[in-house]
Amino acid sequence: MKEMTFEEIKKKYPNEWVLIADPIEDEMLEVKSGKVIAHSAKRDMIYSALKERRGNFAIRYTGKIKGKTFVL
Amino acid sequence: MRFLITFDPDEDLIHLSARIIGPFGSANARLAFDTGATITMIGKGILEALGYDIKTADEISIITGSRIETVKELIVLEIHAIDRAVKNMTVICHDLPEESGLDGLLGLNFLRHFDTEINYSNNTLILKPIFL
Repeated sequence: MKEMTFEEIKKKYPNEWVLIADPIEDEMLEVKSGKVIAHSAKRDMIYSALKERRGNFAIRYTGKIKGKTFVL
Repeated sequence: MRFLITFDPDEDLIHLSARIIGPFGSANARLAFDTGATITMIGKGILEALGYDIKTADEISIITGSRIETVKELIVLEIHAIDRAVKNMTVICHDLPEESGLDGLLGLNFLRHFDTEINYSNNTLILKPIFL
């Protein structure tokens, strides 16, 4: 597993959910870098991958939070 | 002390990062900043993965935009966001649609620990911790 910045992660896994091990975060908990240990278009796959592990992780969707569906 | 957070005007929602602590570890997740939610909501998949037993959790009723729904409620060991840790916080277990790109909502039972200013003119949130 290679350490990558979050910008690199977004480029390598566009519009996917990623599970990041050993995340480096700023004080607002924004992920700056880490090691991608699972990636999928399906969020449930990432939750399943998290369930198999113990420790501290980060979950992110790498796409924009924007679409044709509105949230109320 | 105050925290300034810049949000992306190209995205439909304002969201924050939060670390959810469980018996098996912790997960840093993205939650919508939702002053319209009285309680914080976390996806079932994350809570189960962190070691919470949702099946035995109590049920409560919530009012959504269109109906009243029954959901599970539990107490998480700790939620950490905006440089504040809140222990033994009540959350509801419910999934936002995957298309949201989010893992839940940060509701008023967390946000009321801060005085909050939303500035759409420069896309910033200013949060000032309230020390009760």
